[in-house]
Amino acid sequence: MTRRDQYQELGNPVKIGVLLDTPPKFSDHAERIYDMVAERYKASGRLDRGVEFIKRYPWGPPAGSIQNSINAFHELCDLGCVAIIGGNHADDSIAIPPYADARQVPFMGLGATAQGMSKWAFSICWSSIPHDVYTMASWLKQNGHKRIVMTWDRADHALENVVHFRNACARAGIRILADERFPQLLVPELPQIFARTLEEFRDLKPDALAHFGTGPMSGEWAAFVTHSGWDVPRVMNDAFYGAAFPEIRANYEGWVGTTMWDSENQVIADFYKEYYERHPDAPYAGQEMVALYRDGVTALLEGVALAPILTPEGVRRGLELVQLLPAASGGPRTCISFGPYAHRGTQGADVMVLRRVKNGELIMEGHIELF
Amino acid sequence: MTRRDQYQEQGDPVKIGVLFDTPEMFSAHAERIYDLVAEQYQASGRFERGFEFVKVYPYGPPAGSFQEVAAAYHDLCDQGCIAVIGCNHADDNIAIPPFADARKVPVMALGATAQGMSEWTFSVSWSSIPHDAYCMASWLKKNGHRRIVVTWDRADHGSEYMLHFRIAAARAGLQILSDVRFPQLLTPELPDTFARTLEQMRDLRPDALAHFGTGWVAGHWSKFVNESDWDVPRIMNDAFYGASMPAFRSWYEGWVGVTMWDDANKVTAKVFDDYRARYPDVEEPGREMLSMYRDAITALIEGIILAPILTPDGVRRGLEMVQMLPAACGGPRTCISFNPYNHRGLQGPDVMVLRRVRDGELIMEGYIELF
Repeated sequence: MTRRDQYQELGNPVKIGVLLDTPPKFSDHAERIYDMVAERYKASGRLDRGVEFIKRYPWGPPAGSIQNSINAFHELCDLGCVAIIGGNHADDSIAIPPYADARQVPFMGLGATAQGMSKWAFSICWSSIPHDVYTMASWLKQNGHKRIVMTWDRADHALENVVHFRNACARAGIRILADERFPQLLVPELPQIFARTLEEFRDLKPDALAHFGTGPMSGEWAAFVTHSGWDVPRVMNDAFYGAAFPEIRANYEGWVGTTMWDSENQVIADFYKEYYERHPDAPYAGQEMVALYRDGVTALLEGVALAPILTPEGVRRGLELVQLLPAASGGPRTCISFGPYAHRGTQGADVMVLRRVKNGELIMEGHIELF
Repeated sequence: MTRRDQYQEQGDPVKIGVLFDTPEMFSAHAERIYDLVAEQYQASGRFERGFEFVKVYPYGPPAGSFQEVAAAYHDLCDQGCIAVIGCNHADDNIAIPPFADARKVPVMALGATAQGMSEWTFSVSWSSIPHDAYCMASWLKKNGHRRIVVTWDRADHGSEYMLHFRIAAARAGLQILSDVRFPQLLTPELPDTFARTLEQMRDLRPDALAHFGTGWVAGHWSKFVNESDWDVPRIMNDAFYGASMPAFRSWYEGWVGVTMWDDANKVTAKVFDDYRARYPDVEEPGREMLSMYRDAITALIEGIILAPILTPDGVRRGLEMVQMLPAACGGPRTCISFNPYNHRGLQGPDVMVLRRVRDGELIMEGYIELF
């Protein structure tokens, strides 16, 4: 409480909650990127009062509990944040919207799921499950792989991948001969499960193997297949992100994977360069992750800049006015738009593109051919 | 009621309501396109039971009343339609969602507004107001036109254009010197209004004139400007559709306009050829109109095919599974996707593209440069 004259001072910064539910190897980059984008908005004069990021680091899924992320969301609301960015994990992106609707505080979910939007929940996604799946089906179709086997894991959003993939296969004329659902986490039995699956699948003589993963288990499976001698054409969803790390890239040799990093996208090329100029000592980061955090916070700050009033409801209405922002994620003409009952921000045919690990290099493999 | 054995017969066709709120010059084409697409689906074997279109023709806005449209929607619901396609007019699109949410029968709405989605209302739009406004701002920016005058009309969605255009103009560094709001209908005072507006605006020496129309006033205004000696660079939203009709094209000489018809889109070209082959004796339809009706009925039928159960709720859930359908509207990589809380189907930066009338030809003028 105060008797100061609030008409005579400059505006307090806008309080934005940051729900960092990822390991520090990701979230440390997110914090730097959020600060950098916010500094730019302030410098541009478009958000002259600036923003104050209030941060929480819940021990959430997959190993921790979703309730920890939900509690962190409530805490940020209690602290007066007018909007919250994160969580990243799809489980959190799926679980938080009812709480966002109850609290009436906008939530910018960053997970791949397309099941996490609501009146108060928006999405700028790290990978996009529907785009991911159709891009993979397109690659299989383009390459004449019609009889395929499929592996996936026990995450809720792995099922979302499979639901869309079955539809995509029916449309593309692809037959799924068999599927195996792996554990979501790195359980000790993984090698035996992998060995049995590989043997059974190889006997079916499929044209290709498609994998839908949600974490580092995918890297283990990729390595297992690569080192098995079974040189089947193989494609993976955005769990392929592991291939962006040079020290483990060899695990993905011979795999094709979907990614949000397109070498032709000038927005990410410029932003990535500027990020390392600003933070020369930051550890390595994949372009895809940098693009996602840049897009997530840019969309949110645009919504704040367009908010008619600086309340959670004002920010929700501001977000619904964000249109056709050039995105760092995906192909060069990917863009970000929201509208009432249109809360999936990242849009265009090339939200996901294809890359491949060939001789230790992570090279472009192409784009979806709409079918 | 019957004692026939419903396990022994072929499936009844699915009842789809068709709400025609446009003049016959449009709706007659729509009827033929819907039949054509339905026949193609039935022939493909993807939906053997086929479709029955139940049609109503209310006298709605702009001259008629929305209440007639609402009554027509209820009538279709009462007749057991599990989904309704139409309305076209944006006023109807803005007004219908509460009725759809109450009846819980999905509507595939076809108007340009982005304010017409809800839990039970989906959109595949004839023009898209946000894309339209940003496309125009991009053209103005690209051509160095910074000081702009704006005309628009009294339709509700006239305000929606202006809302987005003002934001786009701020982002693009354009200055709006003046704006005049015309009547929505062809009132007798129009020539006087036009004359006064033109004189006032010319005195401001703007770099360009931008017009946002919603009907025939736009054609009369474009003609009025052309017949004056004011050769200002000029651009119009998708009210520019009039330029696709050879009888009226000269009214738009010298104007740039936004359209959904891109010469490079092969889906459009195929639909046009299929239509001409199926209906050789009818007047050639505008490709934009043809594309929009084709895309909307295609999206709806895909949703019905993906419906887990043939009820209105099943169709709603099926529609939310539709992903990455290649669109006939817009540029070649425009696609159609829906998700829960994401009911704006047409996606991508090139939902709208730019054309120009030059020497009586309607030629391509380019694409949005995201900014």
